[in-house]
Amino acid sequence: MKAVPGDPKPGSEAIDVTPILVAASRGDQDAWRRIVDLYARRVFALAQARMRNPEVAEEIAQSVFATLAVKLGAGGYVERGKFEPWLFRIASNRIRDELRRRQRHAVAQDPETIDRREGVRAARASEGSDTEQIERLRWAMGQLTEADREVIELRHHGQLSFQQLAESLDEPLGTLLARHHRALAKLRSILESADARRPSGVGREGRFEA
Amino acid sequence: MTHNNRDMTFPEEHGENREMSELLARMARGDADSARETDSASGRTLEDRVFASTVSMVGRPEVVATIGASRSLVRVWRVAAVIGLVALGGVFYNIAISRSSSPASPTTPTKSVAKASAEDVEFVLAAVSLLDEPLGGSLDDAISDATKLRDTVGSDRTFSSEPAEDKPSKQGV
Repeated sequence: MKAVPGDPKPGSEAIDVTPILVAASRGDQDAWRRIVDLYARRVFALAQARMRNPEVAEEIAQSVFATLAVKLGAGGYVERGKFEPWLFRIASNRIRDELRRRQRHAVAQDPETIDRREGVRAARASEGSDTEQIERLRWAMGQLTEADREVIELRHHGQLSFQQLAESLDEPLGTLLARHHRALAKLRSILESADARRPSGVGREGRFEA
Repeated sequence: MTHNNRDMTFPEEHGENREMSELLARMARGDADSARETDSASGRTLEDRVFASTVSMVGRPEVVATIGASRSLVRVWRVAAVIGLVALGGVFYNIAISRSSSPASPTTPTKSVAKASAEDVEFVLAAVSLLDEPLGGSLDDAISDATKLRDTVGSDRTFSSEPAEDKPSKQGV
């Protein structure tokens, strides 16, 4: 795989997933468990970034892995070193489908679920793990275009390398690097504009330095 | 191909985007950790639940084959139904035109052709039903035969006056 500045380098923990995929495609349950362990949380994080609902994000993750099981079992995937881009393309499509479905039918939420979720958020905020900065960042992400947001979320939630990101989005590596850089710059600009509109001396600790 | 187990840590971006990348990494960690919100009372993790839902699909390619086959069959039937409906619509349209046009009223050449075609089709169908035989060959051949037959019926000639090689008898078949 081509080395890209700033891209993760395979370290001592690097795992060759090809034999795992081969075993999984033959129905080996241990291999399947390994695949789920390696990727389920990343797929979940990607879905959660967009859906903001852990139950729905988990449903999406399950759906993605069910699709994976069906396609791998049927020989629908030929290993060419592009498993992760392929997997996250499935995940992105599934998330997009769910968002479209939700736009068509405004999905009502169970008040009990909302209360529970808000409770968890409040508890986390008090622990300092979900700070004001993160909430502002989420808001700023919502201001980005769909394309910019997808690049950032695949990179940071999906943890794809730039090369994998380029393969997943079917774009040249150079274009993808430029897109990612521009998307981060836009995000920073949105946050700085929001900061500039705030009264001076209030909440300045949340400001991002350029 | 390798999977780099980064444990939700991210590479450093260069320059001014580095701080933003670190913040995004924190957000991503928070989103990944929110899976704990749906942890069941039995203490099963997200991975346990995803694996449990996936394992029933593992090693069952016939599921895909069945779904694929049934879907393609449905598609074929849909296409056939659409073609059938269009053909039926065409027949009704021709019948409607042929009935609505009065013999005394002047007709355009197009209508004449349509009327003639409709008559041909009706004639073929009538002849086939009389013969009680399935229609073989192409429709063009059948229409051509029907035209000959109509000309024969319309003329003073009898069936027996047709050359034997042009009009083989169906009675002996």
